[in-house]
Order: sequence, then C-alpha cells, then structure tokens
Amino acid sequence: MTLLEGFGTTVLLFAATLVVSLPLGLIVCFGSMSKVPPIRWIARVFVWIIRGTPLMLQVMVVFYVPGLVFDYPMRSRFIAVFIAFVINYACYFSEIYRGGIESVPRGQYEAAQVLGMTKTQVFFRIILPQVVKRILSPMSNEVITLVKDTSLARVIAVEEIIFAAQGIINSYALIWPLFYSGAFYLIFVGVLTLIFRAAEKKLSYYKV
Amino acid sequence: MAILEVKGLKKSFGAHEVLKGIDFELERGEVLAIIGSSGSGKTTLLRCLNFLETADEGSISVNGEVLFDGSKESKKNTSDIRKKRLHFGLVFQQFNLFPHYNAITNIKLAAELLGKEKSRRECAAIDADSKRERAETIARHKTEMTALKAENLQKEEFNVKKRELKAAHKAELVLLADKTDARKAAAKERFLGDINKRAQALLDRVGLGDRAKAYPCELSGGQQQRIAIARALALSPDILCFDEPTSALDPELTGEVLKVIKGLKSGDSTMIVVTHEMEFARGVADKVIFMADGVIEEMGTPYQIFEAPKSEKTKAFLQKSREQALGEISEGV
Ligand SMILES: Nc1ncnc2c1ncn2[C@@H]1O[C@H](COP(=O)(O)OP(=O)(O)OP(=O)(O)O)[C@@H](O)[C@H]1O
Ligand SMILES: [Mg+2]
Repeated sequence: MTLLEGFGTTVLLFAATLVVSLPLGLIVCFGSMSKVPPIRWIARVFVWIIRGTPLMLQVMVVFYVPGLVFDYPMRSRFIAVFIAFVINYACYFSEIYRGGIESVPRGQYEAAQVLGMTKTQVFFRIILPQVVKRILSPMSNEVITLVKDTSLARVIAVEEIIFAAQGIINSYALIWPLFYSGAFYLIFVGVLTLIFRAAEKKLSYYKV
Repeated sequence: MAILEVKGLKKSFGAHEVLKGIDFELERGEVLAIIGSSGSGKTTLLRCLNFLETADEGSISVNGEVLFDGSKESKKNTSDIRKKRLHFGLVFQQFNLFPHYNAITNIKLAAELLGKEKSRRECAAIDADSKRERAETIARHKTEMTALKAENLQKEEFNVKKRELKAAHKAELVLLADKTDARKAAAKERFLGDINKRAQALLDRVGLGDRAKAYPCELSGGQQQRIAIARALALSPDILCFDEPTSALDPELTGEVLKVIKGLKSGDSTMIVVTHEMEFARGVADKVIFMADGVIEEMGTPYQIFEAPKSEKTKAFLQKSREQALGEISEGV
C-alpha cells in the first residue's frame, strides 16, 4: 500500500514538474536570448548556476534556506521538491529551446517578415512548429531523466517510490519492493519512449 | 510616373560601405535585371528595398509615396514597416519555403493572416456600429413607450397597444442583429473568401496546379522555387524582387524557373531580377543595371549593356562571364 502511495507521489511530482517547467523554460529561454543585455546576462548566469550544481543540493537549498535564513520554514516537503525541480528543469528546457530556436535558419524569419507577418505570427506560425520537431529528441532524453530524478525527492524525506520501498524493506525485511520499483521505472520510461516515438512519427511528414 | 524611385541609397556594415549611392527608376510593368560580380551589393540593395536592412541614406518611393527617407528621423514602428514591406515581394536564392506547410498553405498563409486581421478589424467596427445603433433604438423605444403612457388610454386599450408596441420593438432589434450578422459575414467573405481560389490559381500559373498538397521536401529545387514565386505573388506586391532565383538550382532545373519568371512579364508585373544568367537578362529585361563596388557602373537597355558597353568594368565583367559560360560548356563535354 505504501509502495502504491510512493508511486503516486512520483507520478505527481513528474507530471507537475513537466506541466510547469515546460512553459517556464520558454520564458527563461526568451530571457537568455533577450536583446537587452542585463536581462540576457541575468538569465544566462541563473541557468549556469542551476545547471552547474547538483539537483540534490538545489532540493536541500529550497527546503532549508527559507527556514534557516529567512525564518520562514517550508510548510510542505513536497512543495519544496516541486519548486526545486521546476526551476532546475525550466533551465534545462530553456537551453534545449534556445538550441532549437537558434537552429532555425535566418531565411525562415526573413521569408515570413517579407510576407508582412507580425513578430508573434512569425514565432508561432513559422518558428515554433519547426523548433518542436528539432527538439523532440533532446526533449525525450530530458524527460526520461526527470522520471529518474524524482527519486532525489527522498533527500528531504518526501515519500516517493524508492523511499517507500526502503521503508518496507526495513520494517519487513523483504527485498521484492526494490524490484517492483525498478519495474515501475522501466514501464514508466517505456511508455514515455513510445509516446515520443509516436510524436516523432507524427511530425515526420516534413523535413526541416 | 515611375512606380519605383530610388535615390542616393547608401548602406554600410560597420566601416564597410556596401552601397555607395544608388539611383534608379522603374516604370510599371518593367523588368529590371541587375548584374554584377560577387560582393558588389546586389543582395544588399534588394534587402534594403524589402526592409530586411535599413539603409543609412537616400530614399525609396513607390507610386510617389515615400517609404524610406534617410534624412528623416525614422521611427522604427514595426507595424509601419510591415505595411511598407507589402509593396515588395522577395524571392530568395535558397527558396526559404516553410517546410512544415504544404505548397498551397505556403502560398496562402500570409494572405490568410492578413485577411483575418483585416476582417477582425472590420467586424469590430461593425460591432461598435451596431452597438451604438442598438442603444439609439432602445432609447427611442423608451420615448415611444412614455408617449404611449402619456396618452392616458383606457386600461384595455393601453394593454393592447403596449403589447403591439413591444412586439414591434422586439422585431426591430432582431432585424438589427440580423443586419449586423449579415454585414460581418460579408466582411469575412470580402477579406477571406477567394484566398483558396487565388492560391490555386497561382499554383496553376507556376505550373504546379496538381501539387497543392505536396510538402517542400517532396518537391525538386525548381518546383520549390516556383512555389516560392507563387507565394511572393500571393500578396500582389507592386514590385517583385528576385535574388539569384536559379543560383541554388541544378542547371537542368533553371529553365523551368526562368520560364515562370518570363511568364510573369506578360502579366504586367514589375520585377527586379538579380541574376548571373546573362542570356536571361538579355532576353527578358527592359533595363539592365551593372553594379560594381556598391555603385551603378552602367545602366541601360539590354542592347546598350550587352552589345555596346561603355565602361571598362562592364566589358571586363561580361568578358569574364562569357569565358565562364564557355568553361562550363567545355566541362560538360
Ligand atoms: N549583414 C552583413 N554584415 C556585414 N557585411 C555584410 C552583410 N551583408 C553583406 N555584407 C557585405 O556586403 C558586401 C556586399 O554583399 P552582397 O551580398 O550585397 O553582395 P552581392 O552582390 O549580392 O554578391 P553575390 O553575387 O555573391 O550574392 C559583401 O562584401 C558582404 O560581405
Ligand atoms: Mg547576393
């Protein structure tokens, strides 16, 4: 039963992180590509810090720093993990977006501009669809990493699946929960792989 | 009056002056060929006309309307620039079709977006109109009702008349709403109605009427470039510019593209064609400009430029391009 709850927590953390960090990543990406130097530098330094330090450390910082430094303790362990994950993944996604956007040839922008399209139209009609196709495979790597990173939540005692499994092992001296959680990860990643493959196939009607 | 007038156009990239004062005029329906060696500024000139680059000095006027004036502080209003761009079309050397849209969508996309924008604006105006009209009508209904009350009729008679009046008012409002809907539908039809038909007609015109649903990756280079030409025509620009439209194509595919461009000439399009195809320039152009180092070295009829060039630079350039053409032929043998 606790294993099932751990499973639920893991899936929830995964889904919630994805839903928030995907759009947030786009905003960070716009920041790091901004024409205004201060914004660009702040965004890039931020991304550098987040990508340059372990996620485990970030989880602990988000959980402990508000309480210890600002005397405003985190109410929920889950929320702390969630915030750390969102920030971390938004930064990774932003770099993937940036790579995708920069890989669209200048000629695409120019052709659209010459046809009198507005900036918004150029981005949403011309650039973004091509970016989606270009970033699908780095995206799938990152999303699969996220599945496995959810196990880091245990460092602040959020009861994700491995934490739950270990609890069972400790109290009942049973080994099978570890295999079950392993199988859970494999199935989860397997499903995601299939989804990404289907998306790739769906977008294979054109070449960029 | 000239459809296009370019005066003293200058453009530098950093310290490198690429255009050093370009002056020329073009009449409606004329075809201008621009030739010149690599780096002479031909592409830069077309890009300035299409507002992909902003020139530093000089002016550009279309139909007497000044689109660019370097001596005036230009406010970089993007929606202004968008409107100005619509006077020109540009066909790129590398086609630059949108890979994720099929042929017909490539052609009609911009027209559709523009049409939607216009129809949305028109519908908003109609809505505002009808809202005001409705308010006026309701106010009039109120005075009519007050007038009825002021008649001090018998209760029975008053009730009958009141019911009649209310019914009439209601009918009037329904009629008003119907009229608004009809006006909106008409506006939509006007701005968006024939876009599909027009796109298909353009496809036919470039000889690809049966490839409407094909994606760019399924088309040959020559076919892609023909779609790109149709796309540029879709917004009916005053002046259509081509930047070496056949340079990225295999030699056996250049013919079909040049044929399409030739076909446009009879259709009274005004065109500027930057090209290395001397035979084509000679055959199609009404006017030829030879550019060298950012200036117009020589300008004239095809006969003047190709048969009786005055400038030494022109002569040398033509000589060299003739040798190159011969070289290619002998390589082919
Ligand atoms: N964005 C830019 N920044 C800096 N220099 C540029 C830029 N665009 C063009 N130039 C320079 O301007 C000069 C003219 O370039 P342009 O592309 O207009 O020549 P062209 O006549 O079209 O040559 P080609 O026949 O090779 O296409 C070149 O020396 C080029 O290096
Ligand atoms: Mg060029």
